[in-house]
Amino acid sequence: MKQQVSDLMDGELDGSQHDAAWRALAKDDELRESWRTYHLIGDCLRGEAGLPRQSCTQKIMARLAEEPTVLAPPRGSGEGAVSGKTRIALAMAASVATLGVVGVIATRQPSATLAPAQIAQQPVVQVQQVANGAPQVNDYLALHRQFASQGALQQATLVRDAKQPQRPVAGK
Amino acid sequence: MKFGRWLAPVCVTGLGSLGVPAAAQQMPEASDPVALLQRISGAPRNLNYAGTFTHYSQEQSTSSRITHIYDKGDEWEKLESIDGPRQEIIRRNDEMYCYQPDSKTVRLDKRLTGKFFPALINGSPDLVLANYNLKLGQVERIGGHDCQWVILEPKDALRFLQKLCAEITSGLVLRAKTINDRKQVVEQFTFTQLTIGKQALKDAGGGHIKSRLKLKEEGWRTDDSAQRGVKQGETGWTVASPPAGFKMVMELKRTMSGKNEPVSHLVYSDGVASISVFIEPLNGGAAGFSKAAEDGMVSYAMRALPSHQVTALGEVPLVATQALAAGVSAKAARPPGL
Repeated sequence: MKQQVSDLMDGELDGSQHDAAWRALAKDDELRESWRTYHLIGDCLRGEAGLPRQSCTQKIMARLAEEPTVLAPPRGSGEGAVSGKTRIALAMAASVATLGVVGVIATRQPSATLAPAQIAQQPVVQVQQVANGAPQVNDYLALHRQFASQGALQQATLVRDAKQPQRPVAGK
Repeated sequence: MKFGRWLAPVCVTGLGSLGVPAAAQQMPEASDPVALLQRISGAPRNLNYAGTFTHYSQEQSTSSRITHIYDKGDEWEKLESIDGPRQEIIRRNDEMYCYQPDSKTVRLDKRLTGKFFPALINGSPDLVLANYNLKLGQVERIGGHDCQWVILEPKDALRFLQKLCAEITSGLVLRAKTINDRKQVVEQFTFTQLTIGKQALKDAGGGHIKSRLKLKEEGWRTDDSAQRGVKQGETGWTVASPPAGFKMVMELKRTMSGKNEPVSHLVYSDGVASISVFIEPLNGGAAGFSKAAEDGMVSYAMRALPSHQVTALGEVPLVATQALAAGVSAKAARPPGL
């Protein structure tokens, strides 16, 4: 099934295969997790994950660690049973790790101008300010984006409250 | 690609300098930014299409199935959630019927400010081009369709970079990314499957858009509070000098659950991004907040006035919401006797 998730992501499925893959995704938490991991890997590789590279790598590693079936073939199947796509996922993760290292080096290099990695680490907002305002802000955000009408479709956009500190715009 | 193969080959002369592979087909409007933007903003409204898209924001993704039919000047659309709670939205032009099986409720609402993929560009081409430099990117293949990357580079720090990949013949946006000044993709929409034209009509069962849910048998109720509580018109509030390039596109008062008095709501747009400003009366001497923050693609700025709370928020950098919140003031009252 993971193969299908991967194929779906690559736009390789059509018609009934495509629908079947979506139905499977809708039902299976683990598959959805794989779906997100694959996307995270792709985004990290393209530098588009919205994260400094180190955190990107750490995040992928953490996800892969939580996903034993990606790392290990199912019990009872031989090594050859690991799908081609799974290997690609691992290979991609390895490349991201490499990028992460490059990122660290770039940050440490003394330079007259700010390296991109350093700019990414500059705090842009005062995180503690979110504390009391956030719940009310989310009510307004829901109106702005018309969540009542989009429901679950786009809720990922909510501003996080004080208990879940904001994703640092700066890497700590 | 099923459609448009029969169309005449498209002219690519003079565009080699933009980094487009010479062999790739271009959009017919490639050399005319106004026509190109008109095509891109019109396509999601007046085409028939059916597909599945995923929305990514803050490391989360949600997927939806969309069916869109244009029939005798009316838009009909069905949006179904694929993950998360089951939900269906049927839309006829700006009227939305939101079916929520968990609570067996149909909510009625009007499409006002929400961002509804693939209709992401709502402003006139002139407004968009006043705020963004339009550049053409590569031609790419997404989900079996050739699409042209159109890059909208912000002219200042008040908005984000937008990248849209528009299907070559129809102009329908297949993938869209919003990128902040740190080159992070803060929001992304992408079709994972799509049919356009006659095939989509066929997939939609001949163009009949209706819910599959059994409303009568299961005793559903209707909730029109979202629609009923909104009154468009003057609010008595204004922003004397909004951030550059943002124009007020909507002004209304709305009731909100848990609030005694209506809240004023102004919406500003630069043709692509929008900012909402809410002005809420503070009851019984309650103190207002002054805070500002940015989280992913959303930023907000709260500002306390003597008897009102101002909150500006939108899919823009923090400087833009701060500038808008700072400019809010009550319209000058008419002198007595006039």
